[in-house]
Amino acid sequence: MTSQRLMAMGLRFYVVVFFAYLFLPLLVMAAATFNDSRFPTVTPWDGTTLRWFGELAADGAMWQALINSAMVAVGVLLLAVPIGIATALFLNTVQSRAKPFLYALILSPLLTPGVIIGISTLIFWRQWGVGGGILLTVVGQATFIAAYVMLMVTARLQRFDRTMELAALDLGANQWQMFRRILLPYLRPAILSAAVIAFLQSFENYNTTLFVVGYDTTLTVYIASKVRTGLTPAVNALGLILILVTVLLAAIYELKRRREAARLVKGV
Amino acid sequence: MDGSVRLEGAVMRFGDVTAIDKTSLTIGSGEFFSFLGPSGCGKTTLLNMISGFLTPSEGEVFIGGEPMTGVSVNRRPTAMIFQNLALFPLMTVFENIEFGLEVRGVDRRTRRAAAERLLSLVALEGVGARRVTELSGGQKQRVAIARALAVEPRVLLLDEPLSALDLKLRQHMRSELKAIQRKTGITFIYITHDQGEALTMSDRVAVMSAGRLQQVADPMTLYRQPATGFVAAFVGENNRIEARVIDRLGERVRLDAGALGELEGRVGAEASLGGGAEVALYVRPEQLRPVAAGAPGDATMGASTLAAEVESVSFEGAWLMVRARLAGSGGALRVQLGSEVSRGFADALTPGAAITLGYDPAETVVLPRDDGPRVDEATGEVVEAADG
Repeated sequence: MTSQRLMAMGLRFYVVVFFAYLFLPLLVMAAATFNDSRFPTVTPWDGTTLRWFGELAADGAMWQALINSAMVAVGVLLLAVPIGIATALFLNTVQSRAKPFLYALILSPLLTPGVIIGISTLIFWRQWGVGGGILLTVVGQATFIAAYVMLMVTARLQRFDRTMELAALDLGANQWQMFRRILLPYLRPAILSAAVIAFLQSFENYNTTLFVVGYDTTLTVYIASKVRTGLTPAVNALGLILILVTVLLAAIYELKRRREAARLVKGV
Repeated sequence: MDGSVRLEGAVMRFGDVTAIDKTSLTIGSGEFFSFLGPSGCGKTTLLNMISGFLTPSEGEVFIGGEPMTGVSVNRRPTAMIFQNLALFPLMTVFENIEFGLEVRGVDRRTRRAAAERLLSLVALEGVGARRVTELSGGQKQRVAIARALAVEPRVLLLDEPLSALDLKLRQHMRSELKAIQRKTGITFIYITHDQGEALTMSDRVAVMSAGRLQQVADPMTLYRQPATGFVAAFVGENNRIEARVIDRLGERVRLDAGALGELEGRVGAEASLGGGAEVALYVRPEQLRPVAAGAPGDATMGASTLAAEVESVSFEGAWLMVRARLAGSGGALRVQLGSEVSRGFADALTPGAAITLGYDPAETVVLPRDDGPRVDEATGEVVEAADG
């Protein structure tokens, strides 16, 4: 056997192990949804059932948590996206030597542990009489999610041909008209991606949320509390639905992207 | 308010660097005016001062007689065509052309009518709904012109707009631009490093070097009566022979060219040359004619002849380009011969052959030597003179 074939086999083995590591837990979790057992497990198999979907649907607290999570995510999106765009635009115009410092400062919430952000948000806002809840969750999450948005918008902004800005001004546009008609359409793909990321980041966030959510409950906090009070396969049903929704959305996005790419290739 | 542009003592400094030295100049309304110079001479800076992207460090820019200090880019009666065209790629051709009117609040129907009219002016009917990314280079060029004209500027500024096109298209667009300028009557201010563009299109040309105007004149004058050594070398091709003035009679000067003997030439405009002055004699390649070897030169050629040795002869179609070395000094000489002239000298026009060349001193120019630029002999490129 040549070393080349050995390499190829090794690579194949690695890929299989890698994907098994990634997806086996998800598969087990998904399978457990259909097991007619009180616990989320695949052994022993007590018979196949769909009843956990029914139980999930009947869980009012879960529905409330889901609604809360969606509200928080939309709120974060509405707050973090404009802040992130504005920050990116600002950093792009700054010529000062303080630029790297400002950049690091704005990115620092990304490097700060979520727990710290959660605690400090809670302490800060309590001084002003704002307690934990959905509103504070939005504020707390937006502090670091805005930094994600800024990064994504900056990446596209750096490739912007500034002569287009000059051309717009030369043709009589003021700064706002230039922004709305030239720069914003150019940034649109980055902004849309950033909005999706912001939504997902917020939706799945647990460690910051835990401190600022107060007596309200988001989905992640709800699931975590279930672990303590007794997990049933209804949680697996929820997980399965979330996975399927994510896969569906990713597929739609990819199809759209491919169609767009094909259109551009044909256009040029 | 007309479309005249006046610079009054305009200076542009970036930190310690003076990009534009004190410049005063008037460009008439409706004129096709070019700034010609090598890259880095400051011509784009000058254009940006007129468009409003830059504010002069000193002096003032007037458009239509009105001072422009404090008038921002979007309020000036100018429109610019950028080197890379800067079309808006996410918009259709219509949207590009209508942009200037849209931001002025012109209603949709009027905008569209104006865009249709402009598209027919630039001979691009029927592409309005296309995206600009679907157009060819020449079509994009026309859209850029139409977009700039849409805002009805009094002055159109063009920053080397043809440089991205291939040769054929570039030559075609020259005549097209000229025609559009005549039709619209707008002042065109054109920036280029391509003398062919400047000479063929312009009413007047300003030759620039190192942030200074060298000469402002119509193309013919620029070619035949260069005012400085830089212009003589940069505009068209020229042979440069260093010499010393012996004496002067009116426009004519007798020169001592050292090993080349005694030569005659015509004093350049405004040059005050006395006896003994160090000068450079400029003779265009097409002004040199072969004469019978050893002959003192016939009456039509005046008294001046140059002995040289042929290095190479290249056939260029309508003419022959002969490269030769001067017999005395070894300096390079370029001679352009029409086919009818070269016919009688087949023997002399072989590499290594001795040749005698005569010229009419009235078709030369003699200029003070100190402002002479250096021309790289190998490439024929002008190297900026140290003092500009």
